[in-house]
Amino acid sequence: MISCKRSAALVLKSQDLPLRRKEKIQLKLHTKMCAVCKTFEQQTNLVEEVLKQRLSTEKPEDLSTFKIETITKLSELN
Amino acid sequence: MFKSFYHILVTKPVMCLVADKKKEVKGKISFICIKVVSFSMSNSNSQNHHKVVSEWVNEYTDSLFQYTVKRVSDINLAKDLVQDAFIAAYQSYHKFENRSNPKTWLTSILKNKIMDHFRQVYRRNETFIEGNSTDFNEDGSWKIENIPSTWETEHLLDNPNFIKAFDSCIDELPERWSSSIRIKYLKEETDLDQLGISKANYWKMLERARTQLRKCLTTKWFSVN
Repeated sequence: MISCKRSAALVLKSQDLPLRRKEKIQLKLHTKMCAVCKTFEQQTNLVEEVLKQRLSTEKPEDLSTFKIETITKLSELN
Repeated sequence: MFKSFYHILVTKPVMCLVADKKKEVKGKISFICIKVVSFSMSNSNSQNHHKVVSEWVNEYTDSLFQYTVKRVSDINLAKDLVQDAFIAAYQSYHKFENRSNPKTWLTSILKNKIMDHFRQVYRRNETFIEGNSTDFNEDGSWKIENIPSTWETEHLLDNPNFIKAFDSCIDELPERWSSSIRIKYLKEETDLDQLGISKANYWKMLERARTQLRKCLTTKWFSVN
């Protein structure tokens, strides 16, 4: 069986890269038996979920003053 | 009479064009007039160009800002980049041919500005990135102090205070790590070579960022709430 260190590395890797078949099985087996690594996996997945949500939400922002500022800047270029 | 005519020529270019026809009749007047015509022509060109770009500012700022803020996740930085793009567009206006859509043209300028920003981030102090090996004992088991504590996660994503804590954890990350995460969520493929980072290092940074975020949330949120 793989170590906790290896299992954590696989969990992190799986967030950005596809795991190989063998790696998937190794990780599954490990997390079935190791509660600590299961927790680690759940927490890492949660972080990923929040990241996805945070970085793809559009924040509404009032840009009217900013537009005036930009136009003023353009006038100063002359 | 002469003075007042000159005044009209300067302030109203249209009058000047009328006067231009009088060239053959009144030599001196036509001389003034020609000068005024050429002056007013170039002036109205740059005024026109200023007007066009200003219209673009009003029309496209919102969508360009959304585009940028998604990529850099920083409102002030996004504003700076959008403004830089408009300035660049204004200065190279002569390169814009009406054949292309102004929004497409502005977006391409903006994309370059964003890439320049990321490139600058990665150029600063490139250091070797460690793995997460310090969390473990030599035999590969968790060190007692690094064992993940349990998290109470019910209704977590709807809790604005949690989101606040999460954002502050993102802010605490080294810029190059958080930039790596942002790059990951860009809709289109990003050429890492162009940014001057290797794939291996990029993945290491993502890994470090995730590890750090999990730890930060544990201290900032889960051990307090």
